[in-house]
Order: sequence, then C-alpha cells, then structure tokens
Amino acid sequence: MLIRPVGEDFRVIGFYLGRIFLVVAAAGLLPLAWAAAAGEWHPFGSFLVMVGLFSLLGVGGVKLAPEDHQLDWSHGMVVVALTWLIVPVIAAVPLLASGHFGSPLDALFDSVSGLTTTGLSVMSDLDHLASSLNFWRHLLQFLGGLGIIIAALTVFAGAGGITLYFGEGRGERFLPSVTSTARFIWRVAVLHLFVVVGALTLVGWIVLGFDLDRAAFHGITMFLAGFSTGGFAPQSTSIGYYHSAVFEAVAAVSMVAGVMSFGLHHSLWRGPRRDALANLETRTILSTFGLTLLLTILGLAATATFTSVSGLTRQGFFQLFSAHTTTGWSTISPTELSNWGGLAFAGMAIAMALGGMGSSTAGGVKSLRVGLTLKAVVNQVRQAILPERAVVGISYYQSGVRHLTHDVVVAVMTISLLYVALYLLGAGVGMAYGIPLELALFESVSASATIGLSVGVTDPSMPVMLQIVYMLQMWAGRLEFLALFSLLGFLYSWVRGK
Amino acid sequence: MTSPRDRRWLGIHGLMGGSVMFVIEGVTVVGLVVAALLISSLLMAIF
Repeated sequence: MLIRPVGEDFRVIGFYLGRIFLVVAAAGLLPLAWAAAAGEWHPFGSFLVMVGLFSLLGVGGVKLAPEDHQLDWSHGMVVVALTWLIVPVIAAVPLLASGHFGSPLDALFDSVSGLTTTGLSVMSDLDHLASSLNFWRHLLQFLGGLGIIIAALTVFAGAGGITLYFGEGRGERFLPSVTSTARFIWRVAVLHLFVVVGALTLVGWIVLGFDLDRAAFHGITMFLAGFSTGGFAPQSTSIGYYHSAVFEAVAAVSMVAGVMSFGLHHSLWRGPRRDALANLETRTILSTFGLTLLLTILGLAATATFTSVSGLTRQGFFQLFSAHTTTGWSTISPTELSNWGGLAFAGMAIAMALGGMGSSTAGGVKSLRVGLTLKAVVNQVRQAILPERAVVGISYYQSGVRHLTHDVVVAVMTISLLYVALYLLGAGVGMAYGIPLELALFESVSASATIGLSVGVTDPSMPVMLQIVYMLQMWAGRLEFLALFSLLGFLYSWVRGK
Repeated sequence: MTSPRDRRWLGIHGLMGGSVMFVIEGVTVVGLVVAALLISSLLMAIF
C-alpha cells in the first residue's frame, strides 16, 4: 500500500532544502562581489535579487525545523531532485536580466546547462556579456560539477548526508564519513584551482600577450569550466578563440583532473598509487579513449578532412578528448563539426555516450559501468561455452578485488539502458522536427551525457519543445535517474497514497 | 578540527601536492597526444 506523505515529511524535505539554499546563497555572493568590484551595477542588482531569493527560501526552509531531523532514503532523493530543479530557476534570474536571452526559457536553458555541466547555450552575443555574469555562468558549472549537495555537505554534517551524497550521482565514498569525503573533494578542487589558474594565467599573459587581469579572467573562467568538465567558455568561439596549442594543452590538464574520479585522486594523493592503473575504471577509459581516437582519426584521414599530420592530430585529438571527458570545448565551429561524417562522427558520438569516470565531474554512462558491462558479457559467453555444470566466477579490481555479483550486473545494466533510452528520446524528438538522424542523435547524446559539443541544432531559434526535452535530458543525465524516479514516486504516493 | 594528515593539504604542502598532481595530469595529456600523433602519422601515410 502506498503511504501518503504527511506534514512531517514535507518539513524534513523543506528543512534540508533550506540549508542547501543558504549554501547556494553564499556562493551567489561571489559574483555579487565581482560585479561590485567591476562596477557592473545592473548585474549587481540582479545578483542581489538572486541571493535574496535563495536566502529567503533558505531561512524559510530552516525555520520549518522538523522534530526529527533524520533524513531517510526517499526524503534525501526528493531533496536532491528538488534542489536540482529549483536552483537553476533562481540562478537564471541574473542571466535573464542581462538582456542576452530571448525568453525566460532561454535563460533557464543556459542555467540548467551550466549547473549540469553540459555547456550547450542559446545565449546571444556572448562576447559582450558583463564579466560578472560570465563569471557566474562558469561558477555555476563548477558548483554543478562538484555537486550542489557536496557543497552543502562540506558545510553541514548530519544524519542522512549519505542519502544526499549518493542521490547526486556519486557512486563511492572513499573516506569514513560523507562529510570528510565532501571536504576531500573540495580540497582537490581548490588545489587545482590555484595551480591550473596560475598556469593558464601565465600562458595568457606570456604566450598570448593578454593584460594580466584579462589573462587571469580567462584563466579563472576556463579552469572553472574545464575542471567541472562543463565546457562553457568566456568567448563565443569556445577554446578556439585562443588559437594556441599551449593554452589548449594546459586546459586539457584541467579536463583530465575533472574526468578522474575523486577516488582516483585520493589514491594518487594518499595511496595506494598502484590503484591508479590497476583499477578496472582506469583501464576501461584508457581503452575506450584509444579505440574512439583510432576511429575518429581513421575517419578524418580517410576523408582527407585535414591535410597535415599536425592539423589532424591537434583537431582530431582535442575534439575527441573534449567529447570523452564530457567537457564540450571545441576548436572548430559547429558547422565544421557537423561535416565530420562517417567514422569520425561515430567515434565522437561513442566517446560522448560512454563518458568519463564515475564520482567525477564528468557525465555519460561512465567507464566503470562500461567495464562491468563488458565483463558481464564475457562471463555470459564463457558460461555458454563451458559445460552446463561449470560455475564461472568473475572478479575485477577496483580499489581492491571485488566479485561481479548478479545484483551489480542488474544495477549497471539498468542505468546503462536508461542512458541509451535517454539518448534515443532526444534523437526522436529532434527527428520529429526534421533534423537528420545523425545530427539529432549527436546533439541528444551531447545533452544527455552533459557534453556540450554542438552540431548547430542548439541555437536561440531552436523549437521550444526540443529545448525542454534537452533540459530534461541534462537533468536526468546529471542525476543518473535515481533521484528523478524517487521524486516521481514521491509525487505519485502524494496523489494516490492513503 | 583537522587531523595532522588533513593539515598536509593546507599551505605550501597543499600547493606542492597540487603541483605534483598537475604534473601527473600533464604527463597523461602528453602521453595521449603522442599516441594521437603516432596514429595520425600512420594513417596519413596509409591514406
């Protein structure tokens, strides 16, 4: 029998939502301060409204103070799902007020795209956007990549944190408590911030000849988008704006840091370091990267898209690297990318669909699931070949030797199939609007796996329904379905429960 | 409260650690670029 949620359930959910909104309000103070420092008073006003709204909701939620603060599994999942629904709406306020969007839906699209670390955009005239707003777009990606909940868990601990942690698409906890894991994640991010922003700023200043403050602005924004594998860039021509292989290489380092699982960061930092290469996840992502790279370069070489080895290597490698890490930066235009037909296009689409490592800032099916799926398939084949009575056990190494159980296989296959269904959903809707299959599928995978590479389908004139479908895909893809289904179940039991 | 192990993340030790991570990630990028260069050279020679 379905049990209808009662007042106390809503108070618990409201209380935790309130705490999270207060943390997001604090994050909103950064672009507010930026706008004040830069003398951008119009954005300053809109940031003030945004921070005020988050604070109001936050204080209102905290005041609900339920008698029992215990957050059970379904409450936690609903909190995560609602957080990721409400935060983009309020975060879109400064974007909408900027005048760079044709409608509130367009502003919401960029806000969702930012928070989910996708990077698709329907903004007009990005090159003349106020610097504080540009910073906010990139900060949204950083916040979304690390996780809004992770940010909140760093600040407040408490019962139920583990539900919130897993609800945000995190699959592993490598320290004893969720709070210490969340703090570790933030430490990794902050250390990379100092080092990578420093390196990008130096390249901008010395190699590109930017003024120091301009170099620092580009260094900060590109790091925020790269580490979160988000793919926004301060200029409309993405990373191609810099025309610099050195800048691209340093930016690629931030993508590597972002695509690595935080468990792997932990292994590299605190040991055992052998885990870094022994883990199934690392081996899978290196293998799939190699195979898709071969496919892409083979396609480009066969069609003579580039005439020199250096051009083929630089463009082929960077686009594929950006796709597989789910970042979405591009050194070529959407039109040029859409002309990559055949094998190159397939290599890119497969890389995007597979995505990065689990418990990282990347999207897609995730390497561990891909590796486990392949192991399960091999196991099935072995069982078919061997005598009927033979018992075939299968194990794998992922921070220790583990056995591949039936439950794990079912869980992995379910999520992987849901991703495939999500990819097909957007492709189907795109085709209904007359977009060719190849392009519709590419853009759909790009939205669902939170990549951001575009073949020109996403632009300010795109159909409203397609825009809404892409937003849903980004949301479901980022949260890996669990929180989405919990929210639907909660709503259903509210309506039909007794 | 931070443990002694946590404190290693702070200050100069943290920055040194971050720099080491930067080098490891940089070496990964260079390795992948070299692999891409080899594949490109081979395939350009074939086609």
